[in-house]
Amino acid sequence: MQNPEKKSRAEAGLSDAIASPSSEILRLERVSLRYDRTSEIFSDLTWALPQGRLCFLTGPSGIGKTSLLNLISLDRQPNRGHIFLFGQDVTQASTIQAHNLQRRIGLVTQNFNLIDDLNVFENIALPLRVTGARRDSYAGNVADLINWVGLGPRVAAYPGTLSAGEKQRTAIARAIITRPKLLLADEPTGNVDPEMAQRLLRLFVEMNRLGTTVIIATHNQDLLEQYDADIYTIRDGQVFQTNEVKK
Amino acid sequence: MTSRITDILGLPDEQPLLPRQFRTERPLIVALIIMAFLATLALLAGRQGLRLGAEWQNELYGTASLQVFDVASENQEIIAERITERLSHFTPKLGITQLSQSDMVERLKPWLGSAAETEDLPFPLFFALESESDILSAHIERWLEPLNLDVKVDDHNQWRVEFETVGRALYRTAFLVLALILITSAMIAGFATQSVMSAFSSTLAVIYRSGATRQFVTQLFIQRFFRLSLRGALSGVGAGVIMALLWNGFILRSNESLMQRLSIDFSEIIWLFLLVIAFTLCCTLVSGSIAWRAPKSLRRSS
Repeated sequence: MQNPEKKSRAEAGLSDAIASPSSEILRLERVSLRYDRTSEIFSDLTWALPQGRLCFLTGPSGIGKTSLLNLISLDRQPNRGHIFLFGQDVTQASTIQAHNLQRRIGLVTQNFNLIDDLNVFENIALPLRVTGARRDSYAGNVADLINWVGLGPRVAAYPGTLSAGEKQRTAIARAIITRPKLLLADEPTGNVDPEMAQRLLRLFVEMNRLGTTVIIATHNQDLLEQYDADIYTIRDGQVFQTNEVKK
Repeated sequence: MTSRITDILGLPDEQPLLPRQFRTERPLIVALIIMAFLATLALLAGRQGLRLGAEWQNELYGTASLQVFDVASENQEIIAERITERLSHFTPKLGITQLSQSDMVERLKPWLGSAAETEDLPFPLFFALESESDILSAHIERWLEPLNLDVKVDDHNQWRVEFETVGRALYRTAFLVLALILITSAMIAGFATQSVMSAFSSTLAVIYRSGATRQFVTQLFIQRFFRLSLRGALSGVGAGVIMALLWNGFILRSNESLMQRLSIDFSEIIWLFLLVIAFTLCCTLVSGSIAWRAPKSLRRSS
């Protein structure tokens, strides 16, 4: 049975997004994306997401969840249409502007994107290090987060020696270390045991509670049923809000 | 302080974002050393060309030759005395040396060859003139006009102009070669930068994705290529100096050789120091400018 409070929240969020674009963190307008001439992933997709939400993006494998995250994270340009991120049309943005916007987005990809020559600590601290911050100013926070995600004993290990789950936790820790405004996670619990999956999800919920908008792409139905979140499903190149999945 | 905190937390040392050594680093260093070596030789040769032109000019400065034609052999002594007497009142003060016919034959022999008969040649009266200041032929000829003689004074001005031209040509050619070497070195550094960026494109993408500004990434490359090109420049210049010393000490055995010693004095050391700076800056700046454009290429590749 769907929680009426949750439903009203979702409806209110959607209506807010339509009525008040300034409260949206993300808006896609008539966006089309295709990788080749025959297969179109999205066709005239229009979708808005209010700020401060925790949402799941679901759909069968290959439907376009990762592609949508790539569009939102500015790692891919749409063939047509406009994407507004933090109120700015990113399809018109210069390389530098796009890069500046990307710095406000935390991203956890399925292939983790860890740097092989850096150990766990350095990989997680990377977003802080590249700002020019002194190591002693962030070392404590990074160490805390490393312990929180259960990688304390592996702090000096290199990605080549990590399991898939450890890599995933490293990637998640790196994505959230700067407390980004928008956090995108692509199957973030795909390689961890249920206990760690719950722990990581609680981390995302906590981030959301602190004001970060979180979009999690997943096909793990168990997760969807446990959290008070908006659920969006991709179908036929469109995104639908489908909180009824929780029923 | 940093090490204390990381020690307390049991954290590993900070690692460089780019690998400590690129796979292409050794060939790059060798290429840069060769380029710096050639640049050093070009610089020393250019400086030597300039110095040589000046030395040749200095040797001719304050000297002239005076020839008196159509003087019957029985009058030569009287004419020589009159000329010497007249020139002794010339200002500036001249040193006057009359060359005997045997002296002139001796000097002409290398030019005429062994087959030439010099006995029947009509030799003029010949005087070598010297002064502490510059000598102008027109002044001396005008000074000797009252003697009503067929006089020709050569102040070597034409040779001096030619020596100066040759010296400057050598200097300019060498510096043109030096400039070409610097440009080529910078291009090599640029090519190496592109190669490194291509090899580590995924690492760079992650670094950018983690929020690095293009200044930050450019700085990474500038630091790395500054060290590389400085190493190359110092090694190449060092090798060039050793080569010049070998050239001076062992290869050139005769001081009369047309080939010249490559002087390495204080001014050369200053020039070599500037060469190291120029070489390093050229390579570093090109590398930095290519790294600066990286976000565009990364975005295109995505």
